[in-house]
Amino acid sequence: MSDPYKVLGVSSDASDEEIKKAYRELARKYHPDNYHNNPLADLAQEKMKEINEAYDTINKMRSQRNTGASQASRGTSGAYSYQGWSDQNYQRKSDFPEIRSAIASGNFALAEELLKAVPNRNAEWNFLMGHVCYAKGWFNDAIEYFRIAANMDPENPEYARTFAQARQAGVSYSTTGFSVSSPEFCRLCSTLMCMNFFCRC
Amino acid sequence: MFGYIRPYVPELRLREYEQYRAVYCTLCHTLRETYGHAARFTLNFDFVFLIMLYWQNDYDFSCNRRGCMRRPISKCNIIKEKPDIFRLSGGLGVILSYWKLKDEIKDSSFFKSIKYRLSLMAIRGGYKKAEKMYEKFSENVNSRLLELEKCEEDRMATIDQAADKFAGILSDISSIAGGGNERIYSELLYHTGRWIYITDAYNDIYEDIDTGNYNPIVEKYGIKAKSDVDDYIKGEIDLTLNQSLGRVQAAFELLDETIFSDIIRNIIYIGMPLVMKLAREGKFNNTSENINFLE
Repeated sequence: MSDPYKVLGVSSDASDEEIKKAYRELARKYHPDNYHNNPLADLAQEKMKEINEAYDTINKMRSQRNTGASQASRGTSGAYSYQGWSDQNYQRKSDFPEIRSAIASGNFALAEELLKAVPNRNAEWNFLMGHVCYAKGWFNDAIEYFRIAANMDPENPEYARTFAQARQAGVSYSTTGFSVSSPEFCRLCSTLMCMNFFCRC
Repeated sequence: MFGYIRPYVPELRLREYEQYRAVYCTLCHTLRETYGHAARFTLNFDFVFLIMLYWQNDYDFSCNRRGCMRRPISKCNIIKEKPDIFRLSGGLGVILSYWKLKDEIKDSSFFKSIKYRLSLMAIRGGYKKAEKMYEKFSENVNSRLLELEKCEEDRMATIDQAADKFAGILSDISSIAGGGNERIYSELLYHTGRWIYITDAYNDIYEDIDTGNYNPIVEKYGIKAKSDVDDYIKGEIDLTLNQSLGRVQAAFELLDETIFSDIIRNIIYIGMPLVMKLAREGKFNNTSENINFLE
């Protein structure tokens, strides 16, 4: 296994506090929320695993070295689990079970092909097409499809929620402050955060 | 549609600024050495970004000081052992510029096209060389641009389909650059390309309303006059651009740290959002003085 200190980006004589901080920073960076519906989610998960292992190893080494000393508790261990497309929502009754299972297994090309062959384009069709577009990174089209689905079947909470979520899912961490539409106080706050990030002060 | 990917200089460390310049100057030298004098005019910030992205920790960053035509007195830092990525980036730049010039010639009147024709002639030699070296890529660029042209002819009213062609050109780079992590690079470059294409269209909305040139945003939202461009449309474009930017950031964070990591963070967390803000008002251009970018 590679050097656990290197994984966390700290030197081997760093204090417990520093290590905890570095760990938290990295855990926040690779948190599954930042990679939700992202095709690279598995790689982020691997990174997360590496970081967790490195942190555990360091803690173990240190607690062995000074037995009896207070152990730094991670608190977050194992709390992160990635939830992909296999939502419980997919268990509902569906007009397109194969397409849903193709999406759930990440085979978006197949799902797209199947969808294109369907003549009856109901709300669910638009909803599923939205998922396929989103996975391809065609965000603008995806939102359009989610919107149509939600409009065609306003009673369905799944469609309304996905439409709202897709519109919220803007930029991942630390950039929201730069997005033009955010309120002023928010921008100020995250500008400070970013300044802090870049200055390392 | 180039030059959108740049750092925000006031937030760079002095060392980072020097390093950025060194890569820029080295790329300029490479262009001259490999593709001829005229090829230097295809130099732009986007390809500096590409080089920094592909920088590996075992590359040697030691520099020689050399003068150049633009700055004969204050010399610039040129990296001694240039990794292959310099030649590749330069070649891609030449190929893309060549196709862009051809496109401009087709779009403009005869008199206006004269300057483009001259530039095209000047870089033809470099283009032939690059085409030979990166045959597959050049073919891909050709076929993708033909598809893009088709989108333009049909006045395609979808942003994503048009952007996909351009984004595809960039993500193709990941398959020729090699060096592992192809999935990450492919995602990163795809969304960088998508972001560039849509930002470019965003910036040109007002101009294209006047000239009637194809603009996917104008088509998509059925914009007829400048007053039609409201906060709703801008909000939609901001959202979609931010989503791509989010993917760029998420992909980038999965790569190993190198000496350029913090410069790249400056670009993707500060520089690109700022460019977006300017494009929102149609105010971005390569010589923008209203932003503290480079020179």
